[in-house]
Amino acid sequence: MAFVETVLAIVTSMLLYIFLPPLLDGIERKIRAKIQTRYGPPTILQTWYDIIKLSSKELRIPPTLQYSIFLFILALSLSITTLYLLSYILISFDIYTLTIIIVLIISTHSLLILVSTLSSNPFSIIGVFRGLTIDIVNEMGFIASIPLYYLSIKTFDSSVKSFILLLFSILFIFIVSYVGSKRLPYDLHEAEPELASGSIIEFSGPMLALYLYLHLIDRYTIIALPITMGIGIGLAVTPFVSLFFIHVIAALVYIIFGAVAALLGRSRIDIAVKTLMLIYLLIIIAWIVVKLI
Amino acid sequence: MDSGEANMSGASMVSAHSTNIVGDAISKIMEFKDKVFSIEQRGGIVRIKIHRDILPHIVQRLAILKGIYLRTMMASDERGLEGVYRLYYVFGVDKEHTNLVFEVALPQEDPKVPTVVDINRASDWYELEAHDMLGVEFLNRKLYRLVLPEDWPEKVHPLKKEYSVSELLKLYRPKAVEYAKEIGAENIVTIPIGPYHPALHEPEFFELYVRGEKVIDARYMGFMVHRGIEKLGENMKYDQVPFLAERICGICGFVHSTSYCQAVENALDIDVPERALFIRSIILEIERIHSHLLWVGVALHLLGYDTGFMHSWRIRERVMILAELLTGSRKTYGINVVGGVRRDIDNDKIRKAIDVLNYVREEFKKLVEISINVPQVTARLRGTGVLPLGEAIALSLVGPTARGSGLDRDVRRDYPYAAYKYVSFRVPTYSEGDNLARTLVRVDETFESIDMLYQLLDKLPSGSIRNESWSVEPYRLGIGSVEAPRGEVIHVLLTGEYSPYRWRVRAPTYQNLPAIPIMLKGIDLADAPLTIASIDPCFSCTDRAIVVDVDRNTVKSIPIEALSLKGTRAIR
Repeated sequence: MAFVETVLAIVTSMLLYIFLPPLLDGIERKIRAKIQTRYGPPTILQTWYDIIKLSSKELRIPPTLQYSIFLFILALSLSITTLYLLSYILISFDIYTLTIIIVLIISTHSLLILVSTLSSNPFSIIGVFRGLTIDIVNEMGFIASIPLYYLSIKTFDSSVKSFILLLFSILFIFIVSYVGSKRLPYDLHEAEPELASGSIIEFSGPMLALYLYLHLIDRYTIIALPITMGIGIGLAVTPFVSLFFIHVIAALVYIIFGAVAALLGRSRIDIAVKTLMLIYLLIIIAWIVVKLI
Repeated sequence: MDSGEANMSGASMVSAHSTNIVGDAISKIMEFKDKVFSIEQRGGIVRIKIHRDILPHIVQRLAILKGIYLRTMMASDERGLEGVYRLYYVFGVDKEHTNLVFEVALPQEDPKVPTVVDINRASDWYELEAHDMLGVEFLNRKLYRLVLPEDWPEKVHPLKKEYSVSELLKLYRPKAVEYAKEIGAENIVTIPIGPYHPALHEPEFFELYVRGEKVIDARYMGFMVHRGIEKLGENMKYDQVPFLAERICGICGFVHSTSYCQAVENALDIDVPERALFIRSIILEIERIHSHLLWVGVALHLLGYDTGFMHSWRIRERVMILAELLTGSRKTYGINVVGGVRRDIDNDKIRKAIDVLNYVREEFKKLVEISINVPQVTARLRGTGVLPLGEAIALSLVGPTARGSGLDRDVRRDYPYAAYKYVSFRVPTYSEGDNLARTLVRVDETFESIDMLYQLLDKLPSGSIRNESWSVEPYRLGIGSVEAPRGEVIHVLLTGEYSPYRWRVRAPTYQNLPAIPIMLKGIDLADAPLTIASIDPCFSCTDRAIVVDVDRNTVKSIPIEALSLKGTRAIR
């Protein structure tokens, strides 16, 4: 592939990864408003406007969060690197790059959690630790789902058995993506704002803008990853075609996730953990059983 | 007169006209005939004057009888009339539609009476309030301030007749200003926030003692914004009070104005035109529908199901518009007056009301079907915030809170008022006692109210809507009770020359709040907001911040100003 074409594909993909998440959030907000018979934000660009406006405010950092700005910058750098690798993987898919992407995603999650736990606000801490509990379960699911999904695609041979395996692994990885997006019923970190609020309550101005942006990029990344893997491994198409499919499918899944969230209530930490562990275990066992038959 | 003869004749008269429970109660009371001064029956009220020494024994005897509960207690300063303070314990006998009112006179020089709180737990707050407001001493119990603020001057009891409202305003100045100066915060605005608002964002204060995510115990503190409405009412004319009464609650104020008017009408034997009774019932049921829709929305919001919340309030909006059509206001209707109502309903309005009811019934049915099928909603409602029937009976609970625990109690059926005797309706009860049961009671009641409204609108009789030919006879006792959306509201009134001599208001939350700590024990922290909201509480607006360090066994109050300053300094 020509160097220029490669660079162009990567740059286009990067730009889409950078621009799309807040835009999709704007679309999700509009759809959710429609479902709830509200007007919602005036435009689908509203989340972008929010981020830009917050960024223009004064920087105020509470004392216990003094160093959080550096951790945020580090998380942003890791996210951008993840986006680059997700774009690069279109040109040359290999398992090593995929491993690095997974490590980077988990590292970004860890950094964001670390920032949250620095808060001295007990109400925030309650929410943060709820979120942390769900994250621990889900990260395990994330780590388990990737190899199953990878193997399902790699060994796909159009048989019923491989189709079932692929179906299980797709279900698994998208449940993990959904839970990782911290939407209802798993938005426990910000649950019961009267009792427990997560990290968001501690941030304002540019810090909040950065946190929101990182969160939205993370939501989009964990949806785009399995789609990228599927197209990268399963389909031999040009980078631009792959790029088109990835972002269209990812955007669709993102919006479906948003619409599903509008139809659900909030879980409770004990119910959420038990349910997720049960679902993940059942899928893993079912996958192994089908594989061994 | 021989008091013994009077007692016996009074008792015989009551027994002859009373059914089982009231008759049994009178028989038991007559065991103390030397200290029972008189028994009178008028309408559904049996007034029994007793000596203060036998009060605990009487309450003990009543506790044995099933179907009797403490509805309210009024303490009154009657030194100007008979040189005594008087306590009126109102016990209800639901099945026989009768109120037993025990009147205990306390000499002004020695206003002491044995407590009954160890026999009847529901009397706890009534005794504390009587102590605060009139200085009545209840023996053999710990007395502390319930209603009055901590910095209220000692020995100033605001319901005593020697204090006027203006004098009380001079006597009490909150220490908040001095306190603000002490902490160097006199120039900042005090904003009531937190420590947390478990539900409905009102001035409730719950201390939840938690281990991990489990609530191991809970404590409630309230009465932070006592408005002195009863005292204000004593200085207003009879027809002015309904407008004040309606402002007691921001959601279901009409129940209070109705209850007040009924108390006056009951005391003075005023005949209210039938059409006015129907109009009162119509507005009361509309109020119940919009209140329940509001609650359903809030409950779904607390469960994170905001789509349900939005739709519930969308449906409610039509009911609010209907209320405006019928009364001229979305809320605080101001149509109740003693002897009737001030605003009529014509056929055009009836037709429009039926259209709205059709819409609400269909839309609410859909909403309920969808919401109940949301897995998180059912999972978090079922089995949480359980209140056993025994506790509901012991605490004399009322409304959907009681009915959700299987206690079949509804003023509309048990003490018929307004036009409820002309319509048929079911009283939904559930025995589970959990948040789901209380939710389903309200859901069923909404549909029942819609059905009732169809009947009321259909049967609305012709005629006048107000009886203006009534006159005041002082020192007569009246009771007015209404089944509000949150439960029974009861107003007890002693008439005066130009204004109520004493007006006692008891809202349902007063009766139901002591049940919350029981419901909260052992539940998950995440379910605390919904559990508190499940009684549909009605508070008003202030908060205080407090930090409890269980490990160090210390309690530290933090003024919100200090928190604010600390936060401001921190980010400089």
